[in-house]
Amino acid sequence: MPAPVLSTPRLRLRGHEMADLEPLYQLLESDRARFMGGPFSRRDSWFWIASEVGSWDLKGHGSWGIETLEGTFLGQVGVNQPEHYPELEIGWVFLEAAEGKGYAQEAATAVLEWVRRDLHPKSLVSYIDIENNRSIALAQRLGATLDPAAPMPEGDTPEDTVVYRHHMEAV
Amino acid sequence: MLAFLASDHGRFYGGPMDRLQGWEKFGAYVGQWILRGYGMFAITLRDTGTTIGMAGPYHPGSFPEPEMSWLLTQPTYQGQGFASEACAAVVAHLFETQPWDSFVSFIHRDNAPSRALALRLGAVYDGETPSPFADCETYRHHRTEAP
Repeated sequence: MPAPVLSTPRLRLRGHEMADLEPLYQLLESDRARFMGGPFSRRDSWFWIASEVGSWDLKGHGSWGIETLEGTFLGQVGVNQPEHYPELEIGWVFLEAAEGKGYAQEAATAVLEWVRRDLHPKSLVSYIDIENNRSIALAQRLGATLDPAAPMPEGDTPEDTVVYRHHMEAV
Repeated sequence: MLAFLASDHGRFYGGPMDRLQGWEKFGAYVGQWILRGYGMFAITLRDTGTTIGMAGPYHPGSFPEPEMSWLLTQPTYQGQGFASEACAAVVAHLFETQPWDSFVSFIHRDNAPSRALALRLGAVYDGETPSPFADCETYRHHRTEAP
């Protein structure tokens, strides 16, 4: 299935396009990627992004490119479960220029509504670097709660990663 | 496919790799179709529906042009002309549907069966185009008739 198009008052969420790659490459090879285990080479970023695009056909969920109603690319929100994740995860990454305007919260809220309405997963978490205060604050604003007992992705430990759980029964 | 990429049989395709790398590689094969509008086909046996491999234009972000690529997931599928049959169909399809005058195949120096197949498909050795992979040589498929 293709990524469904989701709309919010200020944003459009749609499947990734080739034009998203260059700004994402630049972000992922910068210091901003440090909370995601980066910086990443362009070669590695291709496999990461393209596999989250292919995930829509293979698994029925994946990543969205986020843009303003005028078409300015802002970042990505994704619902993914790569092989080393014990549970389905919602994650987000936004360009520096898009920070501080509530865009990530607006986009993630729309994705959570879609997850609860259409995907109905057994569970949904966010794996966040323990020093990524902005992302932790967003997870909390989205209603997720810290789950110290949750299993970790392969290679992550409670010393570097926190798990926030999104409650699927909530609306 | 993840088993193939994790096995020694996948050594000419960047393997053996772990399951995360395998997922990213396989997921990206599928995602490339959405992003670029062309990509790898799965090869299945008509009689049984069994998937035996893949063939198609592989074009990750770091490649300057598409690469006609193919693989069979198990050694037992080799030697029966399956790759040849599939690749001939894909190459013809690409020249029919894409504006490309030519495209490449990167083949490991030790992968004699793949080199033989590239030559059978009509590709010629291209000493001008460097391969992004170590120890690989470039073969180029040319459009043979006017589009």
